[in-house]
Amino acid sequence: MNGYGSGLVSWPIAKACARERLRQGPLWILGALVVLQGVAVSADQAAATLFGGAMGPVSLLLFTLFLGAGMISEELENGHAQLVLLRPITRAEWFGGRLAGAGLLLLGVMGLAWVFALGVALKGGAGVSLALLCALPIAFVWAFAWLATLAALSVVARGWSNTGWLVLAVLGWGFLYYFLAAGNALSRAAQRESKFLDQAVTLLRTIEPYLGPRNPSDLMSALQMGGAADWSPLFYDLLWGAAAWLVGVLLLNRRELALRRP
Amino acid sequence: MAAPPPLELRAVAKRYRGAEGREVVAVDGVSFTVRPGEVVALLGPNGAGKTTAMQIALGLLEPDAGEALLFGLPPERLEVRARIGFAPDAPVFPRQLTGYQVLELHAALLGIPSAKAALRVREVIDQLGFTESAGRPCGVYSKGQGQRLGLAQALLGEPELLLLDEPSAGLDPSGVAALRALLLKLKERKVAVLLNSHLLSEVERVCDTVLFMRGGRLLRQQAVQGEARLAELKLANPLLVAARLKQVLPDGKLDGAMLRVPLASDDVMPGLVKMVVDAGGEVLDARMAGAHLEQLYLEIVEGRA
Repeated sequence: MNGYGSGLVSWPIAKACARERLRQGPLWILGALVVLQGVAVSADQAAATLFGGAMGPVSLLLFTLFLGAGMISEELENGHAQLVLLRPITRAEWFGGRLAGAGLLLLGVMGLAWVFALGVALKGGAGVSLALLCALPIAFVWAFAWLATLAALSVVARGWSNTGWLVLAVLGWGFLYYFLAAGNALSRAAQRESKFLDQAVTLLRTIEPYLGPRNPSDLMSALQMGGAADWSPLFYDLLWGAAAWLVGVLLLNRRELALRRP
Repeated sequence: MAAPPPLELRAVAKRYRGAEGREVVAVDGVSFTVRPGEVVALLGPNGAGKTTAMQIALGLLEPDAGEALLFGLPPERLEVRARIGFAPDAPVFPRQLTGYQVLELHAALLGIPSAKAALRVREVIDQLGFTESAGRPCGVYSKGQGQRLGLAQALLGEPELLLLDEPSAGLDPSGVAALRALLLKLKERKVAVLLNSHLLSEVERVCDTVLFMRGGRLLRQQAVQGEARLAELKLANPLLVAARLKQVLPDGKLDGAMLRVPLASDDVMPGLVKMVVDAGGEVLDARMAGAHLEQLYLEIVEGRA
C-alpha cells in the first residue's frame, strides 16, 4: 500500500475551493442575507423561522445555487483540473474535495445565522430548545443535498449551466404541476370532470416530494410545536446527498480529461 | 534487472470523430522512449499529434490502440504521478487564487510537509523569476506569468520525468534563456524530459533526440549533434568533384551546385572551404545557412529538399 487515493475527500482541494469561493463578491451578499435571517427570527419561533417558513429556504437556496454554480465544470474547462488530477489523488477525492470545500462554506454561513438565532432566543427568554439545536443540522443536510446535486450536474453541464438546468427543471416541474392542477380545478368547476387530469394531478402530487431534497420546514415546525415529528425528510435528504455525490463521481470517472482536439 | 524507462509509448493510436463526422487520425502507431537524463523533443506542424501523444503519455487521453507506460506502469497509477511534472501549453489557474496559493495547493497534493513546502515554493518562485507576481491573483496574470507558474508547479515535486508542452510560448527572451538553463540543469540531474516546442534553435541547444511528427505519424527519430549548423557552398564544378567530395565529406550532401555540410560551429568554415578546394572544387560562394535542425525539419516534415 502506498497511501495514495485512500480517502473520499482531498482536504487541500477543499481548502482551495473554499478560498476561491470566498473571493466571489456576490456570494458575500447572498451569505449576508442568510446570516440576516438569524438576526430576524422571533425569539419564541426561532427554530421554525430560521431556515424554514415561507422565506427561510429561499435565501438559503439562492446562496446554495450560487455556491454550486460551475463548481466542477469551471476547473475542468480551464484545464486546472487536469493538472491537479495528474497529482497522486483520485478523481473521487478531487470531487469530494470540491464539494467539501463548498459545503464547509455553506456550513459556516448557516452556522453564523444559527448563532445569531441562538442569541435572539436567549435574549428573548425563550431558551435553547431541542428544536433550535436541531435546526442547523436538519437545514444543512437539505442544503448540502442540493449542493451535491449541483456538483453532480456540473460534471456534465458547461460553465454555470448546472445552476441554470436545475432552476429550469424546478420551474418546469412547477409549471407542469400547476397547469394540470388548474386545468383539473377548472374542469371540475365546469362539472366536466376529466379522469385523465384527475389521475395526472394525483400522480404528480404523489411523486413531487421525491423529486429533489425534501424541504425540512414541516419537520422544523413540528419540532418547534413539540408535536410528533416525521423525520423521514431528513433521512431522505441524507440519502439524496450521498446518491448525488456518488453519481457525480461516477460521471467524472467516465469523462475524458484532455481538453484539446486536433 | 534494469529499471523501466521514465516514459515509453508503444504503438499508440488515437482517432477522433471530427467535424462533419469525419474520422481524424490524431496519432498513428507512435512508439518512443525517454530515458533518465535524456531530453527528447517532439517536432512537427500544428495538428501533427504532438500534444495528443503527450496527453496519452499522461493518461489524460485513452489510446485506441497501444499503451503508454510511466516508469513501467500505466499512467493512471497514483504512485507514478508523484514522480512526474507536466506544464501544459497556456496553463490556466483559478482566477481567485494567487500564484503562491496555487503552488501551496500543488505542494500539499504532492504530500510535501507544510514546513518544507513553504521553502520549496519559495525556491521554484525564485528559480523561475516571478517573485513579484506570486502574491497576485492568477486572474490578472499575463501569458508569460501564467507560463512561469505552469513551469513552477511542474517542477515543484522535483520530478524524475518532466513533460513540457510549448513551455517557451509567451516567455520573454530572458524567460527563454532561464528555461534553457533550467533544462540543462535538469539534464545534469538525470531528469527525463519530453518537450513539445516550435523553437528549433532552443530544441537544438538542449535536446538529445528529436522526434519528427506529421499527420499523427512519427517520421523519424534523430539524434541532435549539439548546436550543429549547416554550411552551404556553391560550386562551379559540382559534377567533376562529386565522387571525391563524397570520400572526404561523408556528411556532405550535394544538391545541384550546392554542397551542404553540417558543422559544429562557424569557426570550422575556413577549414571546410580549404578541404573542398583541395579536393578540386571551385568554390563560388560559401555561407552559413540556417541551423542543421531547421534544414532537417524542412526536409523531413515539409518534404523540401
